[in-house]
Amino acid sequence: MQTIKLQSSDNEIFECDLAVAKCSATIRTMLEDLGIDENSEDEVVPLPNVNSAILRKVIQFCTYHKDDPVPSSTDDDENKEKRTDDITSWDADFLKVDQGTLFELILAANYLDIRSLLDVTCKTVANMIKGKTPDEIRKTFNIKNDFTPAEEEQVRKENTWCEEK
Amino acid sequence: MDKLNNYVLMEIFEYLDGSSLKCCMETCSSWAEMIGTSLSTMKKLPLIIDRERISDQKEKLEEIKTLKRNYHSLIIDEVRMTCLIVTPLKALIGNIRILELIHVDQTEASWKTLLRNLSSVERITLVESKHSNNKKMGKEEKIEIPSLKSLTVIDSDWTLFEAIGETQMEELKIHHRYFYPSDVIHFLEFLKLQNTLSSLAVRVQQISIYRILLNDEACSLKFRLKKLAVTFKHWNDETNGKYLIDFLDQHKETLVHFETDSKLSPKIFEHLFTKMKFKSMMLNASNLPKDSTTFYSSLRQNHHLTKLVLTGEFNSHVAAQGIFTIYRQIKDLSINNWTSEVANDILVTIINNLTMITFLKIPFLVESTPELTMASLKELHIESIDTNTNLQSIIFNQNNLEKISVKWIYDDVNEVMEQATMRLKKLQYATFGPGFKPTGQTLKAFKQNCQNLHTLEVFYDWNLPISENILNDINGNGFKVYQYKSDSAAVIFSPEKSMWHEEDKIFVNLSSHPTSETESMDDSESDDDFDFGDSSDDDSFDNNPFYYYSDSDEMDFEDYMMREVIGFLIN
Repeated sequence: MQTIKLQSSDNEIFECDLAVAKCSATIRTMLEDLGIDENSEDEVVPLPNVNSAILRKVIQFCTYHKDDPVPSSTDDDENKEKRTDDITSWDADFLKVDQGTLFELILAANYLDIRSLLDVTCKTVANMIKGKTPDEIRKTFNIKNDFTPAEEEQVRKENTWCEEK
Repeated sequence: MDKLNNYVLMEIFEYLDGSSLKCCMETCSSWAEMIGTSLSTMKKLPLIIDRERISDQKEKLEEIKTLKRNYHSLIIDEVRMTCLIVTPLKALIGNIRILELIHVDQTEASWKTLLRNLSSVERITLVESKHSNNKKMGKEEKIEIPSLKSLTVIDSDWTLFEAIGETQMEELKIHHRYFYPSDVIHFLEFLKLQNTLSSLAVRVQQISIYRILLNDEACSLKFRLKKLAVTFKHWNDETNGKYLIDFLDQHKETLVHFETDSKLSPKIFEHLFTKMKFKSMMLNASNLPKDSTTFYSSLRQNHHLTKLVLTGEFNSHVAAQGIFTIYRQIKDLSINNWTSEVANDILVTIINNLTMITFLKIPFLVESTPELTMASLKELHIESIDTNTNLQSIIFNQNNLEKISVKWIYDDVNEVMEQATMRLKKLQYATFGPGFKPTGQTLKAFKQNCQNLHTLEVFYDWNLPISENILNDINGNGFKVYQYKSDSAAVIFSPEKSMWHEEDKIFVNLSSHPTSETESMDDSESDDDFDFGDSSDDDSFDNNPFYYYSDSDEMDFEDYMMREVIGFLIN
């Protein structure tokens, strides 16, 4: 089986299947653009935006999902309500991590351009927001309320002019 | 949270509904800014101007001036619309894509101002809206709305459209309880300017509107239709029928989709079946000619139609044999309700062509039903199964099936399912609605036997009798089991959509509207010829959403009165 070496921001080298690495559109493009010969054993792909702990998780995710069919995006899908309850038990288990790790996974998924990981992590965060009051959301995500009283009043007032769909 | 960049935050926000988005906006200024300026999130937060919100007129109108979000949709509901309201809105509506006016009484000037400022509007829906003054509009220059793609007019005053000039509109839907003679002129004038129209849906019970469509001046109507939906109670009448036939003939070369739930005369059916080249059609099965076999025997086959949706109850052996002899090439068949006799007719005639079937009610297939192998069948959607249905004969021999969904399962079918997995070698995608309680063994059978299966969806409102460990064990290598809460079932299983799909949602909302009841009742009393309540002569209209509208009006009216009475007692 063909492998490839990936280097994390803290200089740890990970050797993984080429098929697994290619779940990342960013790595795919890099390999093409840089003309890195897939057969040369010594070539190392540097990933300066991903640390070793996160890269390990990402590789674990991609190894598990490497055989997934590529979802076909039709016009129909675009109008469809975006669901957040379609998370498999494996993914839910995989994402039982602290918030910092979850956010880093989102950023890594975004940087590496791994659609399936970005989707499932964003859904997980969306599920954490759903059903919470503004105050509870702030507490959950440690967000600072930076509104002046007047601004806060304005947002509330504007909200009363919006219907919820 | 500040670690996340705006791009991924937007990704997260797109999974939230309107009420969650409101809460997010109240957490901090950067989120408020991000959600309030993006159309993809504001899509879920339409700006609404209604009685409740502008109760204390002057002060509230001042408040509109202070609004500053990037609104995607605008709803004006039960308001007398004047320039006092529209003027402050001008600055807010430049990016509006969707406009809905519901029970709006408007001055001419305010309507024109509104139109002039809607430079991005793609869809306009008017429900029971009219001018508040009958002043004849002057011959002013018409307003251009080049972005407009779709217009829906429900019981509204057509003089409103005098103001609108040529558009690039593709879709027009008209639903009128009464189409007044004055509407006729304005409708025609408006229609003449619409050259790009390709989809037309009409639910009007006055022949006058169909006359317009076939007016002597019709040659000035330049559009060519691809999709047509007509609901009219009196197509059975020969003179009326002639209009439809001529109209169909005019659009013969372009029409690909046709739908009606009305009764048609045999002449019209003959025209549909033999002359037209539709690719898809939606008909009410109970309206199909069923009195004599000779009607069908004289008709030749039509190879154009590949998709047929039959609403209503399909119970006529004659009609089933007849229609499937004409349309032998149907690949995609959707049936609401059918009897076993009809099922046999269908299966015998077109069995080998079918690639997709949707049965909303499964018939009881008699034991003698031959082994049903549908050689081309790739997709099967069934409303429900229990052990009484010949589950085996329906799914066991479909060796090429790639996608299956069953909305409800009533009995323990684990054993049958396990056996079925041995046959469904090509299955890729399976969804089994509430009632299916798979054991770990059943899930394993799916994974082992159906090598191509990548997604298995199950619904539950209890804990699955299998542990997470087993699930994790089964998942992987391209195979995924999704578990949904049972209330999601409706999202995944939706029956075939009519061209009126969007509007039917509005009708349901409208029926809880207190003012609409009184108006609708006045209307039906004033016109004996147009009595919606009376369906005794025509029970085929059971599935007609049009009727549902008036029925639910009455029901909700009672409901509403009840609430009023209770409210009164409490106070």
